[in-house]
Amino acid sequence: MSVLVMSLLLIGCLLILLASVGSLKLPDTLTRMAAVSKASTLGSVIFCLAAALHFQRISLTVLLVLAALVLFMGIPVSSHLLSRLRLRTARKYPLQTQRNDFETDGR
Amino acid sequence: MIVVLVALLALASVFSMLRCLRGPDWTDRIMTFDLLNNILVAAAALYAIYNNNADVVTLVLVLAPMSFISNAIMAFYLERRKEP
Repeated sequence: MSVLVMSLLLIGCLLILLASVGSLKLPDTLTRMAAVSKASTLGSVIFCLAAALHFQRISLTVLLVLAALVLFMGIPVSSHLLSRLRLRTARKYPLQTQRNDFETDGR
Repeated sequence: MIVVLVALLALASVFSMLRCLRGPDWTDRIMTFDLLNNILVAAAALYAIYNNNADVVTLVLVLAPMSFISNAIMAFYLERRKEP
């Protein structure tokens, strides 16, 4: 393992740990979802980059780039679906934000 | 060095499991599947790099769409529920 791969692995681990600390400590569902969906996706994509730099084979690089593309496309869509679902139940468990554009959007 | 990386990933998974146990709404619990799946992808890549085993890289490709599929299906069924 070279020093570059090692530092990339350490950065990815710290990003994922930061995402989990954010999901534990932040006060609201939407802020927690923002922390998780951005930081942990970047962490796992950095892990894929580190694996591609370690092996240096073209077939494995194609596989890892495909996995990174799937991660980058899938996680924002599912996070958007979950935040829409969360805004529908905002009366029972109130959010921190005062204005709710989702309710006044269709009128 | 590998012990530090595995310990950081284990600490991250413990924190996300705590949020999954504590979360007041169902979306809080579903949100942590995303984080756990990212930790799994990271652990698979770490295993492949540390053991110099190129076959495990396929596991990353299998695990990558799993969080999207599970979150979309859970959101679909929770949205069809009558009164939350």
